[in-house]
Amino acid sequence: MSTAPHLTPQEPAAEPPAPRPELDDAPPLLGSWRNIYLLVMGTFVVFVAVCWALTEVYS
Amino acid sequence: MTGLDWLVLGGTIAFIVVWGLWKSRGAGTSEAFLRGGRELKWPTIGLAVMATQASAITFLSVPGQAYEDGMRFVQFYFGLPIAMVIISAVFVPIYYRLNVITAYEYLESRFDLKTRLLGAFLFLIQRGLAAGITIYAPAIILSSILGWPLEPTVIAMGALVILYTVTGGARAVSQTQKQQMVVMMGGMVVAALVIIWQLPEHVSFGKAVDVAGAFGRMNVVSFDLDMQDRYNFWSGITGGLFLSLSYFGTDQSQVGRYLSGRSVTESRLGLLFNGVLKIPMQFLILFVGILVFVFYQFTTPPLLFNETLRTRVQATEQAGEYAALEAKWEQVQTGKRAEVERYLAAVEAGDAGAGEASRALLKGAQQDESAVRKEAKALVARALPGVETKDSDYIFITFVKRWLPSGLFGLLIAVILSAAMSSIASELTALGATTTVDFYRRIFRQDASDRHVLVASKLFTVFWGLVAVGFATFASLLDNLIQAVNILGSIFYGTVLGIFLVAFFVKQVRGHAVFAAAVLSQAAVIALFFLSDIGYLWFNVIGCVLVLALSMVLQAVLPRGEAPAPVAGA
Repeated sequence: MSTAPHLTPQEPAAEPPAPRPELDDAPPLLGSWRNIYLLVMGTFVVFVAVCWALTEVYS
Repeated sequence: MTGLDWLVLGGTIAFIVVWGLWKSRGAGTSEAFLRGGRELKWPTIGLAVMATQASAITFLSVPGQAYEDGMRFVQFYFGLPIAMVIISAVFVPIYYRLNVITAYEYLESRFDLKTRLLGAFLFLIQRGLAAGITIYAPAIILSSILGWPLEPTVIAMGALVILYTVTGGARAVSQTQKQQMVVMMGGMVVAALVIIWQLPEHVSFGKAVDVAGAFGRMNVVSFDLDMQDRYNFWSGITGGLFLSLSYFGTDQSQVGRYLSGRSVTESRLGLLFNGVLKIPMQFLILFVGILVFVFYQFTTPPLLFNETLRTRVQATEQAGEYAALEAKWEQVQTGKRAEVERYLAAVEAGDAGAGEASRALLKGAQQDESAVRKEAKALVARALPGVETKDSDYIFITFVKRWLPSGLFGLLIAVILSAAMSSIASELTALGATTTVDFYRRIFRQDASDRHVLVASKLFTVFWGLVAVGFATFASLLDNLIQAVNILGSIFYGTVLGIFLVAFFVKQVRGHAVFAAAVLSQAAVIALFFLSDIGYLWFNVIGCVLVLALSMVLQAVLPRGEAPAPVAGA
């Protein structure tokens, strides 16, 4: 059964919501936000690895 | 300071303020004033977020911390990238969908008005006092080192920030922060290069790092699970995550920065930019402290870095004792220098055995050095009862003043002032916005015109600026002020984070339950503060966990008369 509201000719249709360009959340690269988050976490892991190597070399 | 230093300092600060005012001209609506007109792109957001967190104390204390304790403080930030990902994925889209100006508006949408007001009130108490300290802390050090009078320094710094914050609003804050961040990082890179250049000719960069390592200063990461150890990988990734989630996700001085973005995408990218660059930035600042440490292995450092304290001790009856300690200090330094040279010779010759033996001797020399410094501080405490003898905050600025060439000293003072101003500006806009949006407009003037809201926002920003300057002016009357404000922050932060975590992740909990849980948790944390010996940083965790647990229990036992909460963004 359809859930669409039944409008009579006297009832004006509700105005469509105003466009909200600020809600744009398209990922600018890598195809998805998940991939971007993985890139950030990967960078973090690499940084920790470099820090660990520095600690080992100079300890 | 030389004429060139004044020129560099004055020119840098004037350029930043004028730039901010020019870029934010035409901020004639409350939307433009409070949210920067939602025009910012991710590089500006990212730099503004970083500049807000980097206060003057970051540049004064962190190099000193590395000088005394090595690089391991960088682990404190290990939870930050994870927090940035969580906030980008969960918090940002909800804030945008609800079109909020402050984070606390979301609490009304998710729970009810009283929970919103509680969150906003806790923020105002904590951040209102912290703003005073953000001005006072660098002013006390700059006035001590440069001989500037304290009160005019505080008032001038506060007035300048109030001027561009009230004139240009959120956009001026973000635009100035972009320039301030460039000055801060540029200044630190130049300082690092000049220190390397000032090392003795036979000490290359590689050898300098080797010397730091021999003294145990290259202790960047430790995976040992030691609860007594304040900085290791595990404490960073857990405690640091809690603190970062709380600070970046619920503190309006940060939320206001990324909600000025053009879109969800821009805000997310700005936060992730911070997630990638913040740890390397802290690494660089710590490493500058390491370079200062290495420099002082070849040049005798002052016995006490706080020059004012040294002068005051020399004017007391203990002056003779202090002079004897200085002679002993020089002797220890000469011996240590010889050991360092022996170590470098062993490294150059590739003699691992001699190098190892030399490292052991270096550690002994370092212990002797620490013992003399301890004696000197004990002497100061005897000669000048009640004064703060900890002088690590003075290490970097004393080095800069004594050893950096004319012009560069002015640039480094500009770095410190920029850092102070960037943090204060964010705090003032956040305090002004929260007072206007969450209290004034919501409770007293819901029908206010845009012009009325704009004027009220500006007046509240000025009000908080005056409170901060007033608090900073009288701050010297209180003891252990910085610690007092840190304690105050820790007492409230956990509860606020707990409320937001319930809002985002525990969908069945409603307003009455979370409000009661927050009030009970806050009371429990305050009771623990007075009745227990728990370290104050733990209050962040205790407050948060208590709100989460109590709100779920209360939701289960409270009568179910309350209407279902609109779960925004869920």
